[in-house]
Amino acid sequence: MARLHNFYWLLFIPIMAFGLHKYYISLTKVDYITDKKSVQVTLKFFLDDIELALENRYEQPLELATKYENDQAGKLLEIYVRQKFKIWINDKEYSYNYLGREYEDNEIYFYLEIENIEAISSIAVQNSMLFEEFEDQQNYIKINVGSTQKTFILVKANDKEMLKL
Amino acid sequence: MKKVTLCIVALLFSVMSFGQEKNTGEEKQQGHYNISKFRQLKQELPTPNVYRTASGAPGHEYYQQKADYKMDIVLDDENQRIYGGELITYYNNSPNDLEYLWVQLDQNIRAPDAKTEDVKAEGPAAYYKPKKFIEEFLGEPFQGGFHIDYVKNTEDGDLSHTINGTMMRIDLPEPLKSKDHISFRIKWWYNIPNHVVDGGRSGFEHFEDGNNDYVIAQFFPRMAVYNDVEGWQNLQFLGRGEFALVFGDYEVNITTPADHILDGTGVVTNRKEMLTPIQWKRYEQALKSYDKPVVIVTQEEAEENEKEVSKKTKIWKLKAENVRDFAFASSRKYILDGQAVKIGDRTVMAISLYPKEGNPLWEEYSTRVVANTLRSYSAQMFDYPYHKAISVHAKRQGMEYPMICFNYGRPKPDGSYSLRTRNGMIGVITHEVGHNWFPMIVNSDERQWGWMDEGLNTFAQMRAEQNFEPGFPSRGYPKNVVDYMSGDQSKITPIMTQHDNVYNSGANAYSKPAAGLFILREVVMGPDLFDMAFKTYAQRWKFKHPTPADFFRTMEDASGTDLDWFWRGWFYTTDYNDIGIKDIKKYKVSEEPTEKAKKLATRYRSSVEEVLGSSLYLVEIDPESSDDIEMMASVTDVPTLNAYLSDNFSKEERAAMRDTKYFYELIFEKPGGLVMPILAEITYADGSKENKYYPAEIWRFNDKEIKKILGSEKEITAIKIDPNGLTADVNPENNSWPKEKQESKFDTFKKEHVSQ
Repeated sequence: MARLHNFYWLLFIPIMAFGLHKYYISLTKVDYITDKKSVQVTLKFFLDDIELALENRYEQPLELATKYENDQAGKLLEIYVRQKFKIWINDKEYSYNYLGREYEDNEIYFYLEIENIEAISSIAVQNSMLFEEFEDQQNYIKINVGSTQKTFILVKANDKEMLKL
Repeated sequence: MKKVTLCIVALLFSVMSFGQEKNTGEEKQQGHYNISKFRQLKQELPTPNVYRTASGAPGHEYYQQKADYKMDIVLDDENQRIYGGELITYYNNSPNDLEYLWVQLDQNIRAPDAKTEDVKAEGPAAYYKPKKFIEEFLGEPFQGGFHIDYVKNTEDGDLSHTINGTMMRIDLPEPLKSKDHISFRIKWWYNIPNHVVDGGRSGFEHFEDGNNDYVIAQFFPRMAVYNDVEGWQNLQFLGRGEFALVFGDYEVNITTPADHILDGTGVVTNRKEMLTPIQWKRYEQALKSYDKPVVIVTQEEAEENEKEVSKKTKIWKLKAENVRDFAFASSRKYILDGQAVKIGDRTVMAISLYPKEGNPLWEEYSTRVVANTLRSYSAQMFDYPYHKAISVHAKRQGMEYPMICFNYGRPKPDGSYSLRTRNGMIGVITHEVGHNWFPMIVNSDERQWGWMDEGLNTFAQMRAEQNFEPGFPSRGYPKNVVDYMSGDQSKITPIMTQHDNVYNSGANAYSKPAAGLFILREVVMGPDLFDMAFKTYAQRWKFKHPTPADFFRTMEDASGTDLDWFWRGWFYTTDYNDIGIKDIKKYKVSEEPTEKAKKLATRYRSSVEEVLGSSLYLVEIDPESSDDIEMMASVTDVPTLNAYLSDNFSKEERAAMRDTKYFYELIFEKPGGLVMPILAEITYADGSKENKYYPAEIWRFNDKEIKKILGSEKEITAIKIDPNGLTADVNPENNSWPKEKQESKFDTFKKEHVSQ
């Protein structure tokens, strides 16, 4: 119950934020590199949003990108991404290599890769990161496969999209 | 000289006829309106008039209404209610008679029949707090909203009134004549919402120790704005579009439990009676303490105070002049500290109110951040005109009122706090104290335009934050809006959109306008011209009601810079900036007429010699041949030029001339819809760098691609567009010549962090 309690109060942050300078947005790039036969995924989120979400999810301070960073932070971030970010290629869900994360200013990048993809006829992405925290979170997905480029905006009510080639 | 003129004439003809030839295709092109991105904003901006001039200043017949309030307020802590009575005196300074008045009833946003929830198009929420779930699906909704007991004239007669959602029309028996005033009384009460549970801009937080922290605003029926641009601004309050309010004087008596500490808008005229003698002594010390805050009500005193509940009451007396609103905060939990801040030749008090739950963060930062904001904003706009500025601790709030604001930033129960919490608190206090300038004093219409206060304030906030702590993670730089501006166009509105109807308020009303002003200051105008113009806007419109046109016009009028293209692109469209370096061509000097020159002569129906005489020509070097030797030769090797130099210049003069050896044609492309200056960093063979700046007007005649000829003493080895990320260029891939194979962040990361 304590954990739920923590969850609940966070729901109201977006309402309060009208007086503040916050907005809730992220960017995910999904690139198929033909000559490497590799699907490279780069996720970019606001660091403070991710930290807030994970601190409430795991009920411990993370202090991301500071010298006091929680030893478990890397592990918890990976678990979170794996739970919330899913990818299907040619109608088959793939598990991906989680290469790691890095910080830049107030942003956090995650790098994921799927290797040995010979050809792509469809690609679907589900990214529900932060939807449990922020009512108006928007996760942009930019997919690049060959000469095809497509941008989707995922929101809570619609957290998955597919590109057919 | 005559020949030069002839050449130009001939050139013009050639260009014109070339254009005509090109257009004789199969289908004849249609005409069009003026579609230049540099056309003036004549059709977008209202026609200047006696109220608002073409220069952006108030006109000679500018007027604004005034509303004075005398209020008696009771804060009922037992039932969390406000009871109020007010005498409003409304001055009609307009040239028009008014048949009715509009009064804002903002609390009605929480009334059970409010439209706020009805206009939201949303599916199920991710989670429901039980209280909220019951309110929504099982039981009765929160009984919020104003209960109006009466609206009476000063003779105690009822005034007919009609409530329409968050607005109330008072019908006058006789029209209120121009230059006349009217007084009337309203009595009301309402249930104070718990802002932690229900959200909203004011209310109370309930603590486990049984006490409440009240941050109270929108608590009284307030006059709507009547002016020359909107008539009555009576758009409904839906929750996002904030407030449009008139200036006036306030006398407010607030009855609270006897053990509460209260502060609010205006001078507390009986503060001495309200504090213990020792607290009053500390207060007087704080008035003289310029270097650090003095704690006036200590944590020890506050902890003692909050243990018991007094049944007695006391009355706080506040008086404020020339403010557009009134708010206060009250609790028996409050610690109070303050310090003096020198603003010009006046002393202003920076004050903080917070419960012990705010410490140790609040005692360390709040008042210092208030003081820094007062100093930085005063330097940027105008001296802070009021006598104090208060920062009140309120869980998850961030909301501004004249002289007082409610701010988040709560450490964990053990007193520890993350860097994020600390920086968030410093940012929010700076932002909300900063709102005293925009919109509390430079009183724009927030219901209509969120950006006029939020955007300008976010811009000023960046400098205040950097002043407080260099390197502070401010938002509102051009790089911060790249993702937003390059996003899905179906989810972006222009900045010039009514605030309730924008998709992404944070980006649209805060970061994008702030980044736009940053670009104007750092790239387009330069700090000197920008700062003077920005100050002029703030000073012209302080204690007045500006509109977007007044801002746009003043910025141009004071700086002598035509910015219509910038306002049009950045504020009126959703276009983004993408400028690239497409190609570079190398040229050499020749005496041999080029095809272009020959054509020109033919068009003038004469021989090259007759028209052009002994001229010089720039000839493109075939990139395939890479004829470096020819290119390296000094221009003085060209006999015509050498002879001319020898005949017309002394040896010393010749020695002083630049030894230009390299000639380049730079070809810039612009896939983006915005026009923007070109910032090009040129790297030479010796490793030195030079920054070239081409004003936005370089795009006047071709919005897609332009060329620029450049003579240089050194060989160019690389060119980079906007190397420091100052123009929110959304696509870095076309920003370099030679084309840098942009290593993606992914590849860089993989190379550095993953062992193969």
